[in-house]
Amino acid sequence: MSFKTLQLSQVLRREIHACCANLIKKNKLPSRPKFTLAMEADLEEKFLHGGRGPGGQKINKCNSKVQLKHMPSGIVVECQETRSRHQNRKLARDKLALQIARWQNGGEPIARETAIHEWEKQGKKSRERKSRDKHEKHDEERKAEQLRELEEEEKILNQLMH
Amino acid sequence: MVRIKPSTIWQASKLNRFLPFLLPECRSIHAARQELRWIQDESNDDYQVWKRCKLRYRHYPLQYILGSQPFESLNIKCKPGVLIPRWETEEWATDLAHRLPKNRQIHVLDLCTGTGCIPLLIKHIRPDAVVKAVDCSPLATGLAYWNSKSLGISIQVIQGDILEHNSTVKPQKVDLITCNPPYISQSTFVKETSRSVKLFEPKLALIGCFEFYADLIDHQISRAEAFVYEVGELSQCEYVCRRIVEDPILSKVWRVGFRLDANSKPRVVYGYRRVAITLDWPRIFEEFGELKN
Repeated sequence: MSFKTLQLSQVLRREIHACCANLIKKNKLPSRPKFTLAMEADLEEKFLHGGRGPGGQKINKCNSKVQLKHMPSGIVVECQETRSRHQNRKLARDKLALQIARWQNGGEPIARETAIHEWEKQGKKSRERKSRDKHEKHDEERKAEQLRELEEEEKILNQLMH
Repeated sequence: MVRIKPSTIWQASKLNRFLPFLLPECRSIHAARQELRWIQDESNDDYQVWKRCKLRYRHYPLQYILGSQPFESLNIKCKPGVLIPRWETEEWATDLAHRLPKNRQIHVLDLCTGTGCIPLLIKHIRPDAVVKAVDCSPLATGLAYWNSKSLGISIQVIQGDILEHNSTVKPQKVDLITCNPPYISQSTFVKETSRSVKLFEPKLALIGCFEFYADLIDHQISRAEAFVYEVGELSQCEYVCRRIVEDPILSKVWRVGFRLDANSKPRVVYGYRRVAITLDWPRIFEEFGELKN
């Protein structure tokens, strides 16, 4: 394959991609499922602090665990990511909202998740394409270099012969 | 206390070389990893992480190492020499603050304030309240003042010993008195208190028995409309309740109740006047705890 045809094919391929692919933008994903006030009513919130043993000033606990139970579905989520109980409560609610959205979708991944999956696939594809293009380009350059060297050698040989 | 298995220590060391230092205080790999993450998040380099983990190995409180403790939505600064706010206090203080009426000038007095966590939270949730904080330790009042400055919540901080009835804490009328007094008795301090607390937290803020509850009945109750005191054990609740029931005048005027914490331990004794002049206390304290008188 000559250099020119290859370049043409690259352009062609890019054009095909540009017109066919339905691109997903990272900043335009479907929004995260929101935790609504209506959900708050179905919740059972528990704070787990190690149960038995002394409490109050006698012990200094650094962690706080929040457990949320969504009564209609029976989904239980826990959160103890941060030191702050306030923060943990918020995070647990976000987690639960996601789980509820999945549950309402009948166990199927929600729109955002499929979109993220698509986005990742798309990224992977584009990375592969870029790498392939790069390799092709380098191959072509290398071939051109070899050709040039051959020509030079031929030239030198011709000079010597004459 | 159950010893930590050598296999656990080995496992931890394979995960991270700093992890075994955290095991004596955290007891489990899961908890230790989490704590390590918190330390790493707030440290600049590995050397600092290592130094902090070594401090933790000697049971030095994490809040003193990192310099802060989250208290509801506030980030309260902590310093050695001042008691670290506990989650039990956070729990009842948050509930109480949300119960107080909005857009009303309520006078709140917090005794034994320490870091100032309770008055700061009340003022934060109800900005119209007029909040005063008293502590006898200059370290604590300094820290409470610093906390109020850095959080931008204005409270009045007074240094004075409330058990000594001198002029520093004037017996002004207030609507609500909150207090988290030292409540660990000498014997339980030796037997039940965890090592980290015993070694590094101020005894001034920990050891006490009935002094503050006696002071409440003798002096503070007359100037207040309602009070909320944290307690360590049931006997302290019962003491306050008994003193009020046995007094013919107080028993007619005051209602007393106990409140449990999330671990179902008696944590708060509270009371309010039956006939409230300014605020509807029975409604405010509805279902706050269990009424005894």
